Amino acid sequence: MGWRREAAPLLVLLATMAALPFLVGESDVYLANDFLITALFAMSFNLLLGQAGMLSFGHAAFYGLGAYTVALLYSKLGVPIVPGILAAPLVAGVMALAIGFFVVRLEGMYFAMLSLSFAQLIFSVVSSWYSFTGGDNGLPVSPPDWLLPTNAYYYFTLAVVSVCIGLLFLVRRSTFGAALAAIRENPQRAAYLGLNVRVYQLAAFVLAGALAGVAGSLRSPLQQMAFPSLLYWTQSADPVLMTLAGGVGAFIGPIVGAALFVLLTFVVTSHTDYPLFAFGAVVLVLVLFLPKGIVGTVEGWWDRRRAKPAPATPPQAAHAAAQQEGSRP
Amino acid sequence: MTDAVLELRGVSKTFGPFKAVTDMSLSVLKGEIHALIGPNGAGKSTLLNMVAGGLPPSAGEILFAGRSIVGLPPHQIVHAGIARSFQITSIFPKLSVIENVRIALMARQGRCRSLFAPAAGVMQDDALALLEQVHMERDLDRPAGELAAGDRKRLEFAMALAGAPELMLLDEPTAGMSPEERSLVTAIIRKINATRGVTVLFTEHDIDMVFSTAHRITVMHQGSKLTEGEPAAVRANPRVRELYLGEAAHA
Repeated sequence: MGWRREAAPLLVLLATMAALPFLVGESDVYLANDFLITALFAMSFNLLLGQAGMLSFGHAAFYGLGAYTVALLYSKLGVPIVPGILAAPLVAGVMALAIGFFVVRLEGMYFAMLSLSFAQLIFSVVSSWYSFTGGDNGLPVSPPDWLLPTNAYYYFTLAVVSVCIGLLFLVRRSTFGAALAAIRENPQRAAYLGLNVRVYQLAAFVLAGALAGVAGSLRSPLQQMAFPSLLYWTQSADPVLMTLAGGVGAFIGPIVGAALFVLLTFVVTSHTDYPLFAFGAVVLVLVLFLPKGIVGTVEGWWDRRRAKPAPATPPQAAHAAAQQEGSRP
Repeated sequence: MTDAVLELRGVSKTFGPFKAVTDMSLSVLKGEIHALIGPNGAGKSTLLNMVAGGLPPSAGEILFAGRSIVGLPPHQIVHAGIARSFQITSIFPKLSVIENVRIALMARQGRCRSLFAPAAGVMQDDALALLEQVHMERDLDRPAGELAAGDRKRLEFAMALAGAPELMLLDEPTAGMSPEERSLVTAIIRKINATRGVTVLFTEHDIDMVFSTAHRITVMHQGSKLTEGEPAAVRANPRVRELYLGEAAHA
């Protein structure tokens, strides 16, 4: 799959998001900001599921840790949020290293359950340690004056999220990403080719955790609060559902899933108290009828349309073109 | 026997009460093509799996180039210089043919650690050379999972060749292949052995292929060694004729 085809929709999206504050009102910009953060959270999750084949049910731990890193640094030490946002991936990454050390030893459902258990453990600590985290009262965060306007914080988030997604884009095509794809496809074969499977899985877990930490660190200044619910297990279910809805195999799948999730939640919350119930139902229908997700299905449809005139081109020419494509640096 | 590249001393493997391999000793000499034959269930695959690090032996010692490799994980055994192929072909089905070979090359060279350097085009010439060797240079961009069984087997063979191993463990390298593919793979085994001095330990049910390719043959029966020797001597052994060759002739 050509890198241009995956980069093009990202650039279009970036341009659209950059123009958005000129086109819509402030409350919609706030919603778009919510979407950007949620999209990064889901994208970091799909580095594990889509690239490395690791289904984590505890990804919210790192999201919440990022949010609390900013909030704790701010309220306990008076550190402004920008240094806090820089510290968040380090804290989340170190925690992912500690948890990952244990969980990558397990596979499949056992990996999922142990990651969930660790996440719930961290949730319990955060929600009951009132003197330090404020427990379920949450912990306040206030952005500095220059980041207080909705549009200013929106552009700040857009910049950080774009850099992180750009990083994920490079990782997907890197030699490290190729090793993760091999491990996802056939871990036994990967080991017998000389890859230390556990170390690569751990590295992916740490990188995904750190980027989820970035997403979380952007979340608490947006809401001006860090809440324990950011670490709760239902929060871990969100990126799973978003990724399945958008498409596990497609790079922008989780972004599309996040857009759907944020919009649906916004629409549904005004009518019911159970937005996850509505989103779950939508994902159920999508998974049943579009098993490759929205983006995967659109890509498949696009490929079939383009494949139709293919017999007209001689196979040798197509082969030469393919070789050229492959040899391009 | 001092120039044995692989040496097994009293190796056993039990699964509960079942004895898969019992007190096997075996020397694979440097630069030889050594065949491991025997009826189904003789313990051939279990033995290869123990050498490759997939199964810990219940007892005994395995030496590679004079150094014990018991207890090493598979990826370290690969980097020591031992490559393997599986009886049931093991490839990366959703990756393309060239990506399959490329990852094999990159993994062996320790070149999978960059988060940013693109994988596309890495070691392209080496990957193409390997695929040309197994006559698969035309299917570069096809998903490996779409290939026919014989093609998948040849691809896996190319992946085992990647990184110039010192010893290759091949579990039925030509099973399920057409006669043309069989002679191609046999010719490559002979060629890398003759030109690069690669030592090969392989199992195979095709008796003609075994006797025409192997320098020495070890016959296993019910987890133990029945006999070991040059093809002519093994063929003449009455126990081997009774237990295995006779059976193969009926199959």
